Amino acid sequence: MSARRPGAFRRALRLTSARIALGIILLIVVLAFFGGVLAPQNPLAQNTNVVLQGPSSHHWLGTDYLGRDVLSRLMAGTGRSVAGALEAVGIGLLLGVLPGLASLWLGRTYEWISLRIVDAFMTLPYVVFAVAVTGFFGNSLIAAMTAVGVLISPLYFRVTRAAALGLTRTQYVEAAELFGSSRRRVLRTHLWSKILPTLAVTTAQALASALLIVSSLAFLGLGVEPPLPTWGELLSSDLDYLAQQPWAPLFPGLLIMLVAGALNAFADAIRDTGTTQVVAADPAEDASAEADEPIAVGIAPVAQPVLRVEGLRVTVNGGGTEAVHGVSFEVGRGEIVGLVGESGSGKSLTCRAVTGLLAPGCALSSGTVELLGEDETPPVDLAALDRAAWNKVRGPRIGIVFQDPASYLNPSIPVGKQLVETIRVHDKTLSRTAARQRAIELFASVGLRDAETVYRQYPHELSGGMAQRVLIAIAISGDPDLLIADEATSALDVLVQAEVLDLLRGLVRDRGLALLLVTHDLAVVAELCDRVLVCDRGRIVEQGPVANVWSELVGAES
Amino acid sequence: MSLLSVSELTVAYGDHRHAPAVLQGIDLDVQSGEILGVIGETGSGKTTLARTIAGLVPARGGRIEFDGVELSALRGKGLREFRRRGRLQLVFQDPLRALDPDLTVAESIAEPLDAAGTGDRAERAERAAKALEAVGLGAELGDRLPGRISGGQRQRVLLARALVTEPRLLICDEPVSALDAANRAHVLRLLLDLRDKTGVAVLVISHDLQSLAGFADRVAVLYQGRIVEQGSARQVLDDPQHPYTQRLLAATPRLRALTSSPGA
Amino acid sequence: MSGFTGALRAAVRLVSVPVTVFLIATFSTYALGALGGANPAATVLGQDATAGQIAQLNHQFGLDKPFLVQYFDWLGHALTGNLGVSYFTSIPVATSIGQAFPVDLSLALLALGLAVVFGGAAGITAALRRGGWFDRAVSAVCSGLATVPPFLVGITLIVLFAVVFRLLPSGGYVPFTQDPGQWLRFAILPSIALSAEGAAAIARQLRTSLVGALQENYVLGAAARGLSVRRTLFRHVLRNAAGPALTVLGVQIPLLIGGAVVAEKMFALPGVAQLALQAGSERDVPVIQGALLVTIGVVLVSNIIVNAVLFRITPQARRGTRSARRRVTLPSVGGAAA
Repeated sequence: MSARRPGAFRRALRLTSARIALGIILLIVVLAFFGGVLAPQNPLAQNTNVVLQGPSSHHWLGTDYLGRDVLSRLMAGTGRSVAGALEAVGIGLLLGVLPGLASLWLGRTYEWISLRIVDAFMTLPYVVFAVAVTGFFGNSLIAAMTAVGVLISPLYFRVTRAAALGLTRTQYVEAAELFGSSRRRVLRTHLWSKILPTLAVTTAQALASALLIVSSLAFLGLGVEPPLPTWGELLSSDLDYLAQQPWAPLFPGLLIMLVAGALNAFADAIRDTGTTQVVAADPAEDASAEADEPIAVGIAPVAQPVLRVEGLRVTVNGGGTEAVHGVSFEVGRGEIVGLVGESGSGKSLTCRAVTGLLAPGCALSSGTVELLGEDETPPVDLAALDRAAWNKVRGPRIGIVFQDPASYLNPSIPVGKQLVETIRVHDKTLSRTAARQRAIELFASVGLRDAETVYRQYPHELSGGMAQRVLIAIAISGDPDLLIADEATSALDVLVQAEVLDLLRGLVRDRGLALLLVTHDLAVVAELCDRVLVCDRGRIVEQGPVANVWSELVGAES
Repeated sequence: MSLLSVSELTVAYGDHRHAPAVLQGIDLDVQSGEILGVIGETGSGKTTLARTIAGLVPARGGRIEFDGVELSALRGKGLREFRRRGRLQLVFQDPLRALDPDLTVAESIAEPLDAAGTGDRAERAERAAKALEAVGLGAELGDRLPGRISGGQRQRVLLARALVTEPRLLICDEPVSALDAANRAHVLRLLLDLRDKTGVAVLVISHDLQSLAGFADRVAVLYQGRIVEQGSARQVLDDPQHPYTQRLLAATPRLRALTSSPGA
Repeated sequence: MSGFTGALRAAVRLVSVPVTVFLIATFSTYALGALGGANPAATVLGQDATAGQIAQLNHQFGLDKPFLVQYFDWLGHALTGNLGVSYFTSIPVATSIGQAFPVDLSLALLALGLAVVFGGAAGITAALRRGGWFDRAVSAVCSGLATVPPFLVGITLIVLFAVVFRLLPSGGYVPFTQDPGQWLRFAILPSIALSAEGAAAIARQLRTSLVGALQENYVLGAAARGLSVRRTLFRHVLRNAAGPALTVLGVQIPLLIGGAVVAEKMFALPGVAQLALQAGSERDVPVIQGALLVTIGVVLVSNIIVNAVLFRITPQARRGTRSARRRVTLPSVGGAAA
């Protein structure tokens, strides 16, 4: 099945780097065939009068210890070096690709054994194995590169297998199986054209590696048949005369690096232009940039405010678009305020701006955000805090709870330990045992029945409701004045959601917390909130007690 | 006799005995030409249910019978033969992932026929074109790639691919969840028309109880791997018995259109 | 699942693969040696050897027994420390290798250490200052170093430090046990040459893993709890993201050994590779087999160690991540817009 989009090579060639790389590669191919002919002088001609000379008009790159022209030797040596690399990669490809594909379908035993053989080959370093093989079978380029080729085959095996495996887990392959398609047909229709670019990338990289290995081996004297030149052998003799010509290794060295670099660059180009992407709609596009008249919504003054936001503006896209246009509100002690809106309304951005957790590219461009304390304590200007200052506010003054709670905890540490860590970071006087005790009490206070067991569990082992309770426990552990819940119940099923809402209500009542609840779910608002702020396209369009605003909010049933 | 009969179906992740059960003792029936809606929130096991009935996931226990064939007992060649006949089709949730990005729309739609070796090239192309028409899309879409058509069109292409073998039962996993209100209504209408015209039965999996009103004949409610309530749509929606169903119904008021977008 | 049976199962799983691999690799080694090695008797005795003398020498070397028996004999002896005797010098192979091996070991350890320290520091800093000049510089250097074979780095170092500036010797060796200071003088240049590629690979992989991990929700969660950047990075992120970098480290080991071969020649170090090269030119089969065997052993042991460490730091992999609870991604959450 041919792809309708331009093939992998053509797409890669759109990049300048790929074009330059391809140019270099083609030049090398030409040299490989015609290097000897194109060389300015006879690469084998010795001249004891001009031994070890530096670059001159006659010998552009100087001469070696036998008076031979270095440039000519480099050019003439291209063919053998390239041939060696090609041979190795060719063998690797032949031995690796088909068994790799077969490993997916020939059953478990074949899979296990072939994987072990692959592992075995991968324990042998290229150079050591080549040394051994040439030691066993005699020193020839073919023997050396065959050895290398055999060791390259595991690479192809793994790459092919991984690519095919990933593809067989896609839904369109599942669908094909559901249609009763045979494996061969699945391979032909869906897999093959997608694996080829990966193989191309692997081949380019393998060629680069093989080239380096040929050179290394030649450096050691393996696969070298003097007086025929190869790049690695030039390096070897350069080493012997390093004192007289310290710059000499530069020429073959740079050439090797150039070719290897070109191959790798080409491989990168294929890989980088490879993925099919349906461009997801840029969420920031939803943010309206219209200069509408702001709908004047008066801030009803609140008794004992804890959070005061005035004229908050947030930009996204690195400052290019404004997504929140001057939002103002207050949240008071013991009060539950809902921040409601559809996706794109700006409610989450507002929440993030208030807590200092804006994603990169977003910024609080203007407005004041103040955290007010008890009586005499001066208000904290949240908009001006740096990370270090925020670390003292988040936890002790503001607690935050998110949607999909388990993902906000470190997946490899038990949840109890993470709570203890938070406790001790904010209260350095507590001993480990005291902190542990406190953690267990906190777990119990949020309704986790088996607090000791929960303490030892990992985040992914907890149900959604339990994980959320854990997050709530962590959020209130610093005894904050303000709790912010960003879609805290959206991922929970309806019954569990009711329980968590009950918990939140209880906490607000018992601790005198201020709670700002961000949600798109009206049922939550109806159930829990005292006041509601309605967000639309970056502005607050309605504010007030739930009862007053409710009829505005709820449209006729469809 | 029911078209589809599921009894005591139990599905678990993992092979060993203590693996958690995702579905427990599910009993379901779908009659010919009937539309059954299965409601479940995330984590209820609804997608697993669809995939198990379709045969992508092995069951730990229970039976699945379809059109007189014991589906749960089919293996290897027999299973492949059954699949090639195409009487039972699964419509995946996400058309972007369920369509090969390198195959054109026409090629994708014709794939079930190609896999079964039905007819020759021309016949397959013709049937694909007919299926495209049946879902309300123009023939010119046939040469496009899935990435270049809209989300709503993609959903219909998925449907067309399922219809091309003239199935007796369609299992649709969240067919309208990713669509906006207008497209949603169209697709549901489309399914109703298809049922009326061809008598195909539809098993719809959804998390949105409201969208099934006026669409499904019967409704089953799935909660944490179990069916907690089942009955005619009117019954379940007007007079829910189980506390979970009651809460589900209570949790659905929508935000009024404060924006100017149509039909919120 | 935990407890004794669990631990036993884990141990078996950890070891069964390396053991099989070991058998396959050593068998290939022995087979190749047997296939390729020209009749040693003829080589040792020279052209005028009679059939009888050849047969006698073959019997002495044990080469007239059935192949599999030879293999298991050889393997059995090898595991008890007897690697046979050189065809030519009659020195026990184990002795020669025993003298040469510590050279490579000390070099490899130093090189590994350098790679970890420099690669790790570079990778972490690049990830933290993503997009900045340091990050771009590190990427460029890493790409560059990936193309540079160790011997090129080695030659450059020799030229700079030994020839031009005459700071360090360009060849020779003193064992660590004899004089650590002198050892360092001789070992530092080859170790740097060997470590370059590895440091680049580690830096690159660590940077990629970290950049990905830093975007995970739990990093945001840590900030929301008031944890400092340093604590989040070292106690949380690195633990979770170090896996791939550790794997890269494991892969470096065979490469390091391969590079050591070249480094030995360049810096005139009396290591195992020199031994093997010498043996290769003489077709001295037991020595080559011994060297290969030791190489295989080293690689496998280090693989086991790396796997054990990986196992330790990723508990969720232990328990499997195929839970029925999948992450819900509603369009309204995460990223820039509300």
